[in-house]
Formats: sequence, C-alpha cells, structure tokens
Amino acid sequence: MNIPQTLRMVALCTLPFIALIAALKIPVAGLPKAVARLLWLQFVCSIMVCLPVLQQNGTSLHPWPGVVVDPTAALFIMLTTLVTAAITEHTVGYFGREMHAMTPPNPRVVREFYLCTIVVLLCIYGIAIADNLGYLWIAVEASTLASAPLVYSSRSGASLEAAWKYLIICSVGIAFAFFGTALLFAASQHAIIPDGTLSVVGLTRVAPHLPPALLRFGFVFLLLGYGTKAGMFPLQFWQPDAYSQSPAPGGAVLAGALGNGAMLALLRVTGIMLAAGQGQFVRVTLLPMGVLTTCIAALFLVKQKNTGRMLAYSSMENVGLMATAISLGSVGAFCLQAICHSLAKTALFLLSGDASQIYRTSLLDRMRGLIIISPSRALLLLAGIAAVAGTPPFGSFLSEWQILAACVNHNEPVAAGMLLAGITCAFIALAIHICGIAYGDTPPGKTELTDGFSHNWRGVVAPAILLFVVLWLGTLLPGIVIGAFARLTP
Amino acid sequence: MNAFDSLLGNLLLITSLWMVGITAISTKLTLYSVQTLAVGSLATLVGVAHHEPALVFAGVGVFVFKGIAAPLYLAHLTQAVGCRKDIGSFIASPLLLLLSAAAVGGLFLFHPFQQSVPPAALPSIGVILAGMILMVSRRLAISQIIGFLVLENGMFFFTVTIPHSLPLLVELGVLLDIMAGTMIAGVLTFQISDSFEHIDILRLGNPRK
Repeated sequence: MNIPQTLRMVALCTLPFIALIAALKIPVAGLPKAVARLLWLQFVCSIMVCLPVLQQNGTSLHPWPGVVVDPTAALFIMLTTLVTAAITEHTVGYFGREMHAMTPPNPRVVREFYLCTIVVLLCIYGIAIADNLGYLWIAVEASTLASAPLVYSSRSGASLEAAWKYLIICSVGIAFAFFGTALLFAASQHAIIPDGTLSVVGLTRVAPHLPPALLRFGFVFLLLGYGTKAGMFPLQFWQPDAYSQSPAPGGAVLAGALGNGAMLALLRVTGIMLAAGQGQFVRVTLLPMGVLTTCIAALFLVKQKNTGRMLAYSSMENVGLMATAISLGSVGAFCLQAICHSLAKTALFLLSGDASQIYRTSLLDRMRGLIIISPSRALLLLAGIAAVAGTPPFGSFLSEWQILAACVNHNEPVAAGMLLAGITCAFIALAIHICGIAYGDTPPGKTELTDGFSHNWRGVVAPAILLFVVLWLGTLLPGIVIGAFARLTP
Repeated sequence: MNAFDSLLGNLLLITSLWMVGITAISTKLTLYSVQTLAVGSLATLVGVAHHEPALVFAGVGVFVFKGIAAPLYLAHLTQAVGCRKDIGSFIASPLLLLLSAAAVGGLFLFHPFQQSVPPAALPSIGVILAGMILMVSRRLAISQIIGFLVLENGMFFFTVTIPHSLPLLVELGVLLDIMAGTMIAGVLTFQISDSFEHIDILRLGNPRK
C-alpha cells in the first residue's frame, strides 16, 4: 500500500461522508446551506487531489488494488463534485421557495434529496476510480438504486410510475452488464492469466490474447447494459419520464452527475476492446447506436411540451455524440463533450426549475416572457441552450467539431452527415422552445418576481458559474484544450 | 462442466420455464426459492471442492439472503398488497410456456453462440431468457421483481460454471446490490398499491389520490 497516495484518497473521500452524516443529522431548515458549504469544500479538496494527476507529468494514483485515479478519473471526479456543489448551492433558494409554496414538500423528501445526491456523488467516484469491472458494475448499480428516490420525490402517481420504470429497466440493463462482465472474466481465463482478472489495466494488457468471440459476446452485453443506463437508443424509455418527474435539482443530478457514470463505464470497456484489436467490431455496434441516438433524440425534441422531457431528449442527443466519440476511440472529444454537457445541462435544469416555480407549471407553452420577469435567468437560459447545443464560443462546439472530424477521419461520412443533421435539428428545436420561454407576452399577473426570488442571488450564481466554465473551455486557445484532452486514455 | 453442474443447470432451467407457465404468485415464489437454494448450494459445494473461499461465501450469501430472506420478504409483500394471481398480458400462460420451451429448445439445438459461449453457459442463457420472458409477460409489479431475480440467478449460475470464481468483494457487492434493489422495488410496490389500489404496471397513471 502506498501511504501518501492512500492519504490523498482518504482526503478525497472524507468530506462526502461527513456531508452524509450532516444530511442525516442536521435539521432540514439548515441542511441546504450546510451541505452546499461542505460540497464546495469538497470541490476544493478534489482539485488539490486530482489536479496533480492531470498535469502533463502527473502520475496516476494507485492507493489500493482495484483502484486507480488516472487523468480521466481525475477529470470526472472534479466535474461531478463541481456539479453537485452547484446543485446543492442552488437548492438553498429552490427548497426555500418550495417550503413557502402552497403545498410545501415533506421535510423527509428534502433530507432524502441530499442523502441521495451525496450517495450518487460517491458512486460516481467509485465508477471513475474503479480499475476492476466488478467494482465498476457495483458502483453503477448502486448509483441506480441511490437515484431512484430522486425520481419519486414528488410522491405523485406519475412519479411513482417513472421511478418504477427507471428502477426496473435500468436494473435489468445493468444485470446484462454483469453477464458481460462475467463473460470478460471467463475470457481472461483463456488468456495468460489462469485465475482470470477483472482489472481494466490487466485486461487491457492481455487484450490481444483474449478469445475474440467471447470478448465480442461480452461486449454486446456490456453495451446493452451500460447503454440502457446511459439512455441510448433503443433503450432510452425510462429517461424522459424519470427526468421530467424529478424535481429540477433531482433532474440536474440525474443529467449532470449520474449521466456520465454509464458512459464512463462504456469508455473503460471499449478501451479493452480497442486494445484487443476489435475496433472494427466496436464501430459496427456502438457507432450506429450513437448516431441513431442523436438523430432520434433530435426528432423527439421538436414536439416536446414539457421542460423536463425536452431536457431529457437533449441529454439523449448528447449521449449519442459521446457514444460516437467512444466508438471512434476519440477519448479527448468524449471527455470534453461530457464535461460541457454536464455543466450546461445542470445549469439548464436549475434555471428551468426556477422558471417552473415562477410560472407554477413545467409546460413550455405556458411559460412566456421570462426576460421581462427575470432578465438574468432568461439570458442564462439562452446561454445554456447555446452551450448545450454546441454553439461557438462554448467548449461543446470544440468537442462536437472534433467528433465530426473523427467521423470523417475514420471514413464514416454517413455517420458524420447524420450527426450534423441531428445536431442542427436539435439546435433549432431547442432554440425555438427556449426562445418561447424567454420572449413573448408574460401570462396575466406575472410581471415581476415574488419575494423568494428577488432577495436570493443563489439561483443565478450557481448556473452562471457552470456556464462560465463551459465558456472558458471554449474561449481558451483551442489548441490548449484539445491538446490537454488528447492525452487522456480509456 | 461435470454431471452435477449439468443436472443443476437443467433443474434451474426447468423451474424457470415452469414459472413462465403458472399464474399463482405463491407457487412462483416457492419455485424461485427452490432454484435459488439449489444454485446457492452448488456454489458452496463447488467452492469447497475447488478451494475457492470467494465462491463459498457467495454461495452461502445467495442461499441465506436470496434463497430464504428474499422469498420471505416477497411473500410478506404479496400478502400485504393482497394479490394471489398474475394472469399476465397478451398471451395465455400455457401458450407462453410452450413458446418459451421451444425457444430454449432451439437455443440448445442450434447453439447460435457456439463460437462465443462454452456449452456450460447454455443453461444460464436459457434461465436469463426465461427471466426476461417472466418480466415482460407479467402485469404485476411483484412478478417483475421475481422475473428479475430469476434472470439474476441465471447470471450467478454462469459465474459458478466458469473455472475460477469472481473475487469475493465483487460477489458480495453484487449480492448486496441485488438485495438492496429487491428491497427498494418492494417499497415501491407498497407505494404503488397504496396510491393506485392495485400493482398492475400496465394500469399505472390513474392514482387514487
């Protein structure tokens, strides 16, 4: 055991556990502020632990067997911590207003939200640092179980249906991933490791010696499993319901933090396949799924009437782009896309939650004239849509450009064309929906914000920070960003 | 794969197919319990014979938690929500049993994954298939939980039949996740029953309150 590295890992994981105890013990009235402060502190801590790993000459941490903090893991740890800290910061105002609404939420639901969010954060840490496909699976399944109560927060019949659908579909999907994991373990016993291994590094090292047929069979199950969790076409049925039934901060946790988990698992597995020389098989299976996910999601976006469902299909569109990047072995583009999407989508969920509180509805056609009621929120909402749709100068423009370039470089012009059509369609649909919210005549009697909003700056600051990071990634010299991300490996 | 493994694999498959053909929840739970106790015992015996402590612990865990605790919990759930039968949807159970048996028979006869999968894995794939059929063909939430657990039994059986077992932490972690998943699904079933006065998944959407 490497003592300094172990201490760094302990430092990384201590604060979330303290936050977990705080979420259990502190009275609900003071809980949002306490958890937000602890998670901001955790973000600073994650930067101190992970940034040295990301530096050009930084080395990965190997504190315990089966645990590796490589640059990709370090990046996702910092990202998820930032996202959850911003969400909890925003909830100080959000839950404050909910508590003064006509039907305030049960304090137990509020406590449950913080507990689940912190457990999801820990699960994402687990997924990021797992150098063992078994631990990876456990963390992905645990994240599903921990996030199911978020979907059922409103305690309505529709949310119950969505939670059931989410739990069952994702659990079955992840069970398939377990079968795929077992198949890869069986395959490793045919190679030069007689006892078999589940270590990602170990499997990557012996990948050329693994039996190709068993490897492919295992990959198909893993793809089905983690693809279901990620919401890839045609396994996405749980996603729109789950996102739209969760309260806005819950949706932000699902889209911004949890959404990356399954994609990261898929990245690790694909790394083994690519090392085994199965790049062509990955391209035949994962690439069409990725491209179709983007295109189908873009089509569904056109007809959406509800903000939650609209953002769910937008997430699906981005998941398709990420899957495409993974299938082409473009790890840097995947990471940049995942980061920009997480940050921008979290900001959008938080802002749309505010809009829903202002208008007391989540129906798109009943939200009008936000720029008159709350200009800062309307402008941020417009910026958020630009960021999530890959408009320059945001970082997502760079990643989408890289993904399209990778398609062309790998001689996949049809995929490039379809992606371009999907991205364009999604951009137009999102722009129409969000411009509809921002502009137009305000509903009768809704011309200014109520007290809960006017004295609370937190609802604007958290999304603004997230969107600023996406903008910063895009406006830095593109060479620096692309160069830094190009060093990342599966 | 030795004869004992093969025998148990077939027992697992037959009980799974049998479950597809019956409508009584209590019988289904009894069959599920029998097959889980069998697979748990097999894992323990194989673990002892091959000196694999991980498999011994996993086998005992499956025997106690999945074979005894989970069926008892689900039986309590069944009684609490007051459901006895699940007639299923689309296709009558006897016909579904025949179709499922034909599909599994075809799997063994043609062995479509011959290049990829060792023959030892065939019963596992058959059980997974039966578990899937159970899940998609039934209407009640509790039947879907049972289908999921059967599907998971097929996967665990596969890990028993491969030469070396999965690491202990992985086996225990998987067991813990499955048990936690069953508990949460059970709690949601209670909530569905409370909100809708039934646990028919196809009729969700019109809550009582």
